[in-house]
Amino acid sequence: MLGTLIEKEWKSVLLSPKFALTFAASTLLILLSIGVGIREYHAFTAQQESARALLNEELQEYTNWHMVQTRAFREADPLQILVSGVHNDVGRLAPIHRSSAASLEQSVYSDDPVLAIFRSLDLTFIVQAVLSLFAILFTYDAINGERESGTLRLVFSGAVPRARFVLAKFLGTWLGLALPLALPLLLGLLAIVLARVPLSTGDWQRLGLFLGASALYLTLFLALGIAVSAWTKKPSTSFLILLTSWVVLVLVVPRAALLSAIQMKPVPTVAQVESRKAGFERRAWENYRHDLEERWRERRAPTVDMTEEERDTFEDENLSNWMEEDDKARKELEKEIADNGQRLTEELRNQKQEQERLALQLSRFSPASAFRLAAMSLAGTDVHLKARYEEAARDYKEAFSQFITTNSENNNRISMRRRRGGGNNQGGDQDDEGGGQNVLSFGGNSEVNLDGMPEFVAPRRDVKTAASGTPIELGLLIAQTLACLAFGFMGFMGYDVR
Amino acid sequence: MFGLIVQKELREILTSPRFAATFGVVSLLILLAFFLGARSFNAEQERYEAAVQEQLRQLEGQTDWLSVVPTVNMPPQPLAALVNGIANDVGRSARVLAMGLLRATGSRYNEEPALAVFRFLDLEFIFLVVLSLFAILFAFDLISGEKERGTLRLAMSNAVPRDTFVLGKLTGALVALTLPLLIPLLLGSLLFVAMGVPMSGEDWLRLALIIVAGLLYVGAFLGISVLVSALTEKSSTSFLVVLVVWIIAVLVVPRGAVLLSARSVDVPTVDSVLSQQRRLRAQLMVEDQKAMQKFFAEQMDFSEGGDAQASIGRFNEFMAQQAEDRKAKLDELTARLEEERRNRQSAQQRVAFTLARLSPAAAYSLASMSLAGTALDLPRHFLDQVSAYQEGWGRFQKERTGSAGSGFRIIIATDEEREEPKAIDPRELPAFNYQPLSAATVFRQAALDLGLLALFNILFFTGAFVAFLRYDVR
Repeated sequence: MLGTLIEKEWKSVLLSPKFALTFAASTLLILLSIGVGIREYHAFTAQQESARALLNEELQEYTNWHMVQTRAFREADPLQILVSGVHNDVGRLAPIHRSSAASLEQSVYSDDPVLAIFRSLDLTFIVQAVLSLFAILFTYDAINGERESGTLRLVFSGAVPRARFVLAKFLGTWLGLALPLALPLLLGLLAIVLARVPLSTGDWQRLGLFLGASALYLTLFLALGIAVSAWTKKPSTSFLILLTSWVVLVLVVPRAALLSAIQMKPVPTVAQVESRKAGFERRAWENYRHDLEERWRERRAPTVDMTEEERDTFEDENLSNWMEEDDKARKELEKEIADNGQRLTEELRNQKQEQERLALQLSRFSPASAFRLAAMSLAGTDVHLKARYEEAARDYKEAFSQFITTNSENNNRISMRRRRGGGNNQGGDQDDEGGGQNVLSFGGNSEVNLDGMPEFVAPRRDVKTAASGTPIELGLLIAQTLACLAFGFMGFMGYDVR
Repeated sequence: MFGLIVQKELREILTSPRFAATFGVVSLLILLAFFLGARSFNAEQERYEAAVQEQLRQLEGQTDWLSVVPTVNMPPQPLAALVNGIANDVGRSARVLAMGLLRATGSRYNEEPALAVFRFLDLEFIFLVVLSLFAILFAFDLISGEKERGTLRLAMSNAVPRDTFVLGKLTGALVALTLPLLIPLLLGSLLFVAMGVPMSGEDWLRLALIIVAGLLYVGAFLGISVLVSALTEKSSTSFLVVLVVWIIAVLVVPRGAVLLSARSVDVPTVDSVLSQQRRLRAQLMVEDQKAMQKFFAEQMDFSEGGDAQASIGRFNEFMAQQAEDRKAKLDELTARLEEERRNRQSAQQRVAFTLARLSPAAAYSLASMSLAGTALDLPRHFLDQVSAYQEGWGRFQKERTGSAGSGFRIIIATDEEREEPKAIDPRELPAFNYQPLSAATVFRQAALDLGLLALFNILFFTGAFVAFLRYDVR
């Protein structure tokens, strides 16, 4: 009996013009979105590759250790083809220099705003906004449409249990929607493989989970459509109710939740924090300069009554100690500045995470957000993408700074000196070649050999970590689907079929 | 007769449940867009002011203007809260050294990726997606529906000229859809004012034009729907056809156009521009160091009885000159590279937008973004202003310190007790007065798209009119 009912439902869907429309539109959109995704993936990879090549050329040309700076590049994830998430919005690279904060810069959209005008069209958006609308189109008249056309009465003149009828409706339309989606999806996946996008086993598993989440999301809208159809008399009414719910669930709730979170937990801007950092740095260097002057004054105090000869001997004896002392003070200061910067950045990051957490918690109640969040988490293009990379970039910066410091040791300051002569200097250096001449030397000018420079390792996530961010979202989607199904059953049990 | 048909159409639409539902949803969305826009603007304004204040606070107690590197921020604009455009995608602040390269960094979406996940619910999006869908819902069965119900036959059995009939229906549908929209739009504008968003007279004019563009866009979809309805026999068929047209016009054409243009024009990447600048800078630094060493060895007089102060003065002057030369060379390269990139970008945009404008959705997006000042020239406009500020800042620094922050200088510490340096007055820091794009520029940019939208309306309505004249009403 159930089989016959499903077959009947499936056939009626298959023969309807809306099937033809869904098939045509979803084929076009799915293939277009995957095509766009593949193109963007390759363009991004090529862009990062050429940026890397440029960096290598720059690295070859350095002749001064102090000027050496490198960059940490974000890597493309094959799943960004289907779920662009925040990929285009966060920076592509982090400049790495001893004094920089190692944060991501130059997003795809800020580099090429023309791409931002119409945004990208990824499969997640198609599923979230367009296919969910199709799901409604398939089911808004599932029950009340049959009532209006009089066929419901006919069916129930036979010995058909209501529960089985509604279950058959649900499964039949599900199959009817799955077919027009499965074919273009398979073609799209084939295109990804043919376009030589490297997919590991883990990537295929994540992709499978993403398709599962999409199916679950569409099932929810099918169930919602049937439920509303089982509680209303006229298809036009159910269509309006469903369309309104779609607007609210897909368009309003996610954005409203986010903005409420921003209002509830305000966070200072990066500009404010940067200003604080810069202020601290300026004050610290000013104090350092002041202390340095004091120290030199004290050091020179005993030489006031000495002859020139004695003074030179005295200075020659003490100079290397003094230099070491100054150098130590400078290093301590640099560390202090870096630590303060780190602390402020960390504070900001924590505040932001709090805000994000609240926003995500609130928005999850919309199935559209739950689906999107799950998809982004699986694809690695979620809101934490930036934080993950910046953390890795900070670790890299440490290793890089260490490398530069080790290689340019005792060679890291500007110094000027006149051997056997008067005048004031700051940070004089022992320089035997100076003779009777003024010598200005810039530190870091020894041969720059970057062999053995540490390489940036992009943070990678395995399937388990990627999936660990999704149970709540997927659980919510399942719970909402079951609730809609139960609601539909309840409605149909008491439905007046006449 | 015409009046009667319009009245009948109006009454039919206004009393239908779909009007109640759509009007409710649309009003809610429009009010929400204004409300959230105002909240977002106020929050941004607060944060902008806080950033400016923070900078001044950090300058307190400083004694040397040379160590100050101001950061300028783009202030939030009221209309950008209603039509985001690319305002959240481009850098909003720039560090201004007295000379040297300028780059805008810190786009809002890069700083707050959570915002990028859901984007904003702005007025442009509501018109672009929601209202156009509702226009379809209102008009897809305007002709075919009447035929299905048999009322068309009845109407035509009387002495009603077809042209009067279809004109009456078109006018009725247009009025029924657009007039009620004005109520939430008006309330939203009042809400905007009540929430303290500072709108100038010019802003109001621009907002009015954004709304006109929106109504023209909705009108275009109404026209398409009636046209399809007059070309099909069954309302279910016309609904499906219009839906496909909607998907193609709103989702496919604009993005497809950008993709095609990206393939057709090769634009040098930002990376290559920055890399060339970095390499020249590194090379110039090395050359400068050599020149300084030479100067130091040959022209400095630190001997007993020599005037060390005068030597240092000469050296600082020499270095300032070096810095000027360095700047000139860097500027030349930057100007050349930027010009090339800009030209290629403009060519790419021309291709993209010409193709995209085949869809009313793209014409509407571009018109509203231009009017709100959040279209593609926003980043360039900001950087131009920062560049002007940089010149002023360089002059200011030179006036105060005699040097323009060349990067190298000698600080001399003497054995004599010297005066404590005086603290600078942070209030003297030149203010950055951002001027949004002028109204004339904005109107000029939007004129083409507004004209196109009007053309689409004329085209579709004429099409619907002609199609109905040949329609089989039986």
